[in-house]
Amino acid sequence: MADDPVDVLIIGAGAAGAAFAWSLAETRMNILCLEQGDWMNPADYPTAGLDWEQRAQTDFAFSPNTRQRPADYPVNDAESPIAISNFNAVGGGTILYAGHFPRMKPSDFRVRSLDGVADDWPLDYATLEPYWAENDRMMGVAGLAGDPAYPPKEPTLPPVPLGKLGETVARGFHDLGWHWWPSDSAIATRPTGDRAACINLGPCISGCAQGAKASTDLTYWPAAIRNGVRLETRCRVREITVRPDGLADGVVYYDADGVERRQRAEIVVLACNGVGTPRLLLNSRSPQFPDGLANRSGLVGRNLMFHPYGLVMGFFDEPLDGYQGPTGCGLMSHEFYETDLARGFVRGFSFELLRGFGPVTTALWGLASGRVPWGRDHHRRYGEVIDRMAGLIAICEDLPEEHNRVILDPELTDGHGIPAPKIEYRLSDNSRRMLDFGTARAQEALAAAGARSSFVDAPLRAAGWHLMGTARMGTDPARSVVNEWGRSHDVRNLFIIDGSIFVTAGAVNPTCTIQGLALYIADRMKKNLDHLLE
Amino acid sequence: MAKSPDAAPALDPAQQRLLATLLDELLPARPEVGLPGAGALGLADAVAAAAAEKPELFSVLEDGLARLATLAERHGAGSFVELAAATRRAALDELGAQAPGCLPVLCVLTYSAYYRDLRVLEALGHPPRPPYPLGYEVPPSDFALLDAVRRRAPFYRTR
Repeated sequence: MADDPVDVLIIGAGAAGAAFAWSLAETRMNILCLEQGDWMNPADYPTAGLDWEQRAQTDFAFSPNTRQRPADYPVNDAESPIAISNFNAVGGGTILYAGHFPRMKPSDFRVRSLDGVADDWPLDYATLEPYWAENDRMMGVAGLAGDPAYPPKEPTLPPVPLGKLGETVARGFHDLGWHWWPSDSAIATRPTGDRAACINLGPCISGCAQGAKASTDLTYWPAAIRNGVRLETRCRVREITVRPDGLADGVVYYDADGVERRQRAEIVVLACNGVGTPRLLLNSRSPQFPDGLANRSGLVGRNLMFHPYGLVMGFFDEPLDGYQGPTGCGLMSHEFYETDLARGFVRGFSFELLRGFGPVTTALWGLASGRVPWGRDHHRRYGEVIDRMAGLIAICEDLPEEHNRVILDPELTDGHGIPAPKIEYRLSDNSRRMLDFGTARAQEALAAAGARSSFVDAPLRAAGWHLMGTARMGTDPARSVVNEWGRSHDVRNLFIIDGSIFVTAGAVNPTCTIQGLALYIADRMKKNLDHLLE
Repeated sequence: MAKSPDAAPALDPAQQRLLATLLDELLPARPEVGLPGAGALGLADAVAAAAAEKPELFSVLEDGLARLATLAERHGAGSFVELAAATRRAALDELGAQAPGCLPVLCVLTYSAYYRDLRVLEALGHPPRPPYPLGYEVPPSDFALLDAVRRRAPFYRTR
């Protein structure tokens, strides 16, 4: 590849990079995206084989440390109670996400004003609303209008069916008088564009072989490429370089053959997620930026937020057909979303339905939990749980704390010798109390639905899917890394568009907000092209 | 027979017989519902092959089998296969005490092979196929149960 300069260089082809590239393509600028992973072939996804449950724990595991694909980089998360989950490919995390697609809510952008904690965002719900709607059209979102937990919004597709399991759990919420609503789901419930309709395979979280789930390799990228964006895969960026005047001038990366290359650019856009982005900035040291690029505030890598997950599995007497239908999409509840200090914590959580486990996972879970022993009693005990489990997850709002951070590991490196990230994270007392409250309410809901007993796992270690806050946005350069439209305070031609820029986390899955922000930032850039760097 | 340096590790015939017997102890037959034992199902080869994919797993397997052979001798038998059922269970408990990580590893390998076997899936009443390409028919939901929620006033917070 020639290293002729490009107008815009995007690093990362996941949820944010894809949406941004598609939006900016209409400018006809010379846009290149470098992605460390490759294109995925849906025919290779696990659900096409009988070993689908094993592969979800190996080459399609959430953790890059388990997966160890060539595109993956290791993450030292040994000392964190929540482990990092990601996927490195065209589509990024959307390859393995559940497709649960709720928007954040008006109060999420004003937590300082409303609750006196953390910081307000420099933008609000109304600002993002048209970009969420545009993103919904591009991704295809199944759901049902009329939810009183939200300002009015219109899903583009019919809701995902609840199935026997979902209807059973919904009755529990109904009997308690609690809010519940069909999930907003980035799943094609009828044929959508080139995508076939969902056929209820089950484990969306190891890739959708049907192509019904809205991963950005299927949604944004084909359109972006048709509009002239170039996407180069298996290219791992080592560092962003700067000119003497402190502006970014491109990157150094390793191509698919492992050859070191240089790519110059007028504008550099980071879309590597809440761990990959601070890692790259911290690896981009120079005399002008000895503590890492765009890090004069000292906040790059800090304020790491997850959504601590409280998982409760209920055990029912009857089969629930829980292996049928999208794993993480069914129903949600926002009964406990907004702050009520009488609960013992500030902010709140949402509930998300988790459908049942497959035969192998049920057996392995039974083994690990001690509920299903080996030997003579195995089959009786296994029969008590197979297809008789339904789950609720309390997705808790984590508040930003500077000591929770991504740093560079002093020893660990990836396959190219680039320093790997290390996670320093402690669960706050507020999050702990929220988890305790949330899992207790989940047990109530499942009991009301007919569960005879339940099992709690909180915080769920494997649930570090949502990576936020490590290059936060704001208007004060001393207290934020990027401004209100994603431009670095320190480097005027460097933009960040992924979950790193979240000021707070909300209590919902962040992908649609990440993409809404990416579209918003692209739009701001398009409207300000003539004086973008002023 | 000499193994080439690159060949995957494999069990000898005596180890294979021992492993098949062990698998039937871990997952015995339950004929009344049509479930065969894991050993009788012929899963020893699959379990050994899965272990052979990672040297550390194969070491655990070989070590466990060697310990069981020694324990069988202590119980006065020529091999684990010759032990009476009750004594086999006692030997497995002793193995668990000697090498606590051994049986969990063997169980993971065994369960992973057993519960994806078509005969087992059929006996469980689970569709004996992978999810794709046929998927599953799930009828559209009746959302009448939502009426109470629909009547609720908006409750998202703005101030």
